[in-house]
Amino acid sequence: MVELEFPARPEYLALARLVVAATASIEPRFRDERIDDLRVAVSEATTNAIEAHAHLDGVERIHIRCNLADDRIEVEVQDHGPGLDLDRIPPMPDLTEVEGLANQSGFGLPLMQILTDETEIRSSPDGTAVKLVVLQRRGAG
Amino acid sequence: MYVSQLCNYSGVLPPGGSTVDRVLAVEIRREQARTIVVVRGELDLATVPQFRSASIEAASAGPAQVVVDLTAVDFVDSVGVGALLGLRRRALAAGGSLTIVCDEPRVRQVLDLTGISTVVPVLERLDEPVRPAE
Repeated sequence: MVELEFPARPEYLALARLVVAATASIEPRFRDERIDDLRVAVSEATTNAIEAHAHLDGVERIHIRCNLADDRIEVEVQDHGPGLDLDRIPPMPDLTEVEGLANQSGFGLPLMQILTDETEIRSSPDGTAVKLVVLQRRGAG
Repeated sequence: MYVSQLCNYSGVLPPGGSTVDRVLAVEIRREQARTIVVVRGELDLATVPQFRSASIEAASAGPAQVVVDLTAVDFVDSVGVGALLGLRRRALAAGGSLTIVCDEPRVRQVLDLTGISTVVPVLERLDEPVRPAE
């Protein structure tokens, strides 16, 4: 397992992507396209984690854990923000609709779901853990 | 007449000149019929504030037909897409339009998955003719 802990500040996003992509690259059977998908998904999850801390006093820390197996990589992004109130991941904003165009946010969670094979969000008042699973080969559905 | 204005937006401006930020640089070029915003680096939560500042400048004067050149961008996430939509809104408000130039497949994928490529034409080259977004 590879673990990374860093302040919940935007300037650390690039580091998070770099470490997770480098970890996935250890397994030669992971195609570059899958690693690119993971980089975006991790950026989305880490962005949400940073923004969850935005209204808190002080600087909290974000934990990222990467578990690399032969056929998959599991990445967990843990924050200590106030938690998400989500029963389901909302759909991608529809930019062909005027309301969707006016919305410059809301893409992150649906993008995570599209780019990974499994997305699991566990939220509590103590924080949120997002688990992203990317298979070596993109799974069906 | 060709008129160009070079504005370099970077995180830190040392005295006596400009510098390229480690993760993002934005250059604005004014041509007779269009304004080109050349972006280099990564567009995410950390760098979008710089891009947003450049967007305001790009749409505030000169031709409002804005072209964002992302050919030197190697990463965009949804926050970056949101910033591109913001630039589109500013360009349209100025009576113009937005076009994106992108030839990197992994960046193009994000543009497609978020749907911004359905409302903003995406070209592979700066000199490619613009077709309306489908």
